[in-house]
Amino acid sequence: MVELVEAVKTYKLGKTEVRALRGVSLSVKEGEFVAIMGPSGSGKSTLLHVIGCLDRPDQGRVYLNGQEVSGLSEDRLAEFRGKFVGFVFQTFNLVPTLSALENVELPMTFQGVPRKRRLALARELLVQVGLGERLRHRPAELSGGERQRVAIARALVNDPKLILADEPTGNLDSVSGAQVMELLKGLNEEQDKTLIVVTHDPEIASYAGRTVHIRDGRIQEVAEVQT
Amino acid sequence: MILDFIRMSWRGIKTRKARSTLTVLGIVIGVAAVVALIAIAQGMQATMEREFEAIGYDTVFVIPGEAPQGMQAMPDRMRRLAFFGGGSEGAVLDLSRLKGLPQVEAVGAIRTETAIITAPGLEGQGFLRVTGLSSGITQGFPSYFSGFSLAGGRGFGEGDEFVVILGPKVAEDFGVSVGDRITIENKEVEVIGILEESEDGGMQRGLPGDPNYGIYLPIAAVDSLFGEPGKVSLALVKAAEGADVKRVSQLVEQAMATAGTPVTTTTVQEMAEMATRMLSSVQAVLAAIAAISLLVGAIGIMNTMYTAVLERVREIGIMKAVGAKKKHILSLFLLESGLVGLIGGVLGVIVGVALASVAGRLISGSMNVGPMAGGFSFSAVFPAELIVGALALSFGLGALAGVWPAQRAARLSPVEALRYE
Repeated sequence: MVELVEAVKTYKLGKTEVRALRGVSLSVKEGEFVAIMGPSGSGKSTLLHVIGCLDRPDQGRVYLNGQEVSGLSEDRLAEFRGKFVGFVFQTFNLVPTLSALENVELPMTFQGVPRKRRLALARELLVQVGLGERLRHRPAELSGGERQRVAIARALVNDPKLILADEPTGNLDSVSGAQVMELLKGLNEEQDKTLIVVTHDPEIASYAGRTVHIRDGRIQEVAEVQT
Repeated sequence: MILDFIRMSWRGIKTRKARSTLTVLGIVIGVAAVVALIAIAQGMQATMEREFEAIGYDTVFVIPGEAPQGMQAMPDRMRRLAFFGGGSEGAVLDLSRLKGLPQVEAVGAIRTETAIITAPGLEGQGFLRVTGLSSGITQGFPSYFSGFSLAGGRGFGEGDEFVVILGPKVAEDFGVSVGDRITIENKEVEVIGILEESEDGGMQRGLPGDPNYGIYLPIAAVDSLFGEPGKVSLALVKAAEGADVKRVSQLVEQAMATAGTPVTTTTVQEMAEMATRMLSSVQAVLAAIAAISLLVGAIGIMNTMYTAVLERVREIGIMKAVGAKKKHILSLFLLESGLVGLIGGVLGVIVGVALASVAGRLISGSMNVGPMAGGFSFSAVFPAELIVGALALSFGLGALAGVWPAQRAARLSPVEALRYE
């Protein structure tokens, strides 16, 4: 499902060069739930961006679903991530001017899905994450946990095989955090979505079937976790 | 898909109400200026064409004397303009020579003088301009007198001499009605007719003065009151059907020069061309001013869109993360700036139409003073092309102003955009 071969990524932050990935190789099978752990600045978010086609590695190769994506143009990448990857972010990243329903609709708009179908599907997914009563609310009118559930619904609209979550519980209290994690785990178990979660919280990592540790841009160990 | 994008763009505009309103205002001013100025200019053009048409393109204006020396050096059109002013001293002309020309259908003469007048309603004496009209004018140039309808009494007839037709306002000032008498240059004359009041100053084309205040006599009466029979301030010559009007005007000049009384002529065609030339240069200046205000409006849009892009970097990142391509982001922002332009355009057209209508009325009022008085009824013209063109222009300009900001937005890298605080 996901295959990274010696991926290297360096970016500039102001004048300093940050060597975020220094040759990462990683393989994730279809239907797996993998946690990527590491301290802040270890490169775990960059790793997630590269896997999710938000960014391209400077060196090395990335394969998603058997296709090499590391050489694709920006627009082809956009198309690919639109269809194949669902993102869940720590800061939710909802569009503040759009309602919950419209936020969930958004990815389908760019895929050219007709409006009727978009509305029906967005509504269905929001009901599924328990927000059937909150369709017309703006993000600012929702609690953190509710916002993250909107984001999860949005991640699911194009029925992606891969869901990537970057500290999905980082801005949530423990109760809503647990709800979100249960929701994600359910997607992995019941809908067979491949799930990769970046976190620095061992408790969150404990939901995963496997944990990958990253430090200074390198994978340190691959541990199996029994749940 | 395009509808979805329009909906999203509209939301972008709505979320920054104050800024959008101000930006739109910039375009409104520009478009209103363009629409109003073009409508007024078109109205002027139409009015002029109507006026000249009514006088008849077969008419040649003949003014005694060569063009004054000082003015000869001036461009031809300026010299011609002096005609309109009726600034001629007048001279004795033998117009019967013109009647012999085969290309000439009719000849009419006008003689204006300032007369001492006493009337029942006047305290003491008045010095007023009187206008003598030959039968050639009243009969040969009916369109020239299209507005000369009488409210009471009768027009000039055969054998009339010491009779007068008054404009309604001057009749009121004099305190006279049909059948009463006034004295002009110590000679009693009978008021035989009073003109209808003309609201827009009348249609007494080319004649100096406002017909509401006109004092008209047969030219023979003016001749005997002031002496110098045959003196003419302005003569009109109508070219025969099919004749080359320009050629006729040259023949008239030649014939009168041979008679030892040189004249200068101008044709209605020449006057129309001159007026059009003047109007075009005025239009060009106005258009340039309007274009500048539109440009300023467009820069306003560009500024707003640029700020909008900066404000929404994160939003752009989100959209890209969920699969938006460059072209999607580009069209979103272009549509948004285009919409701002279009809204400005719609309001601008409304304001411009209102402005031009009001200005039309004011202009038609103010035109009715001075030497050209009496000839103009004016209203702005709004051709469909102007309205449609203004709307298309404002949308296009808006979109164009958005190109640069939109490209910036489209080029943002999703990761950096998402990291942006």
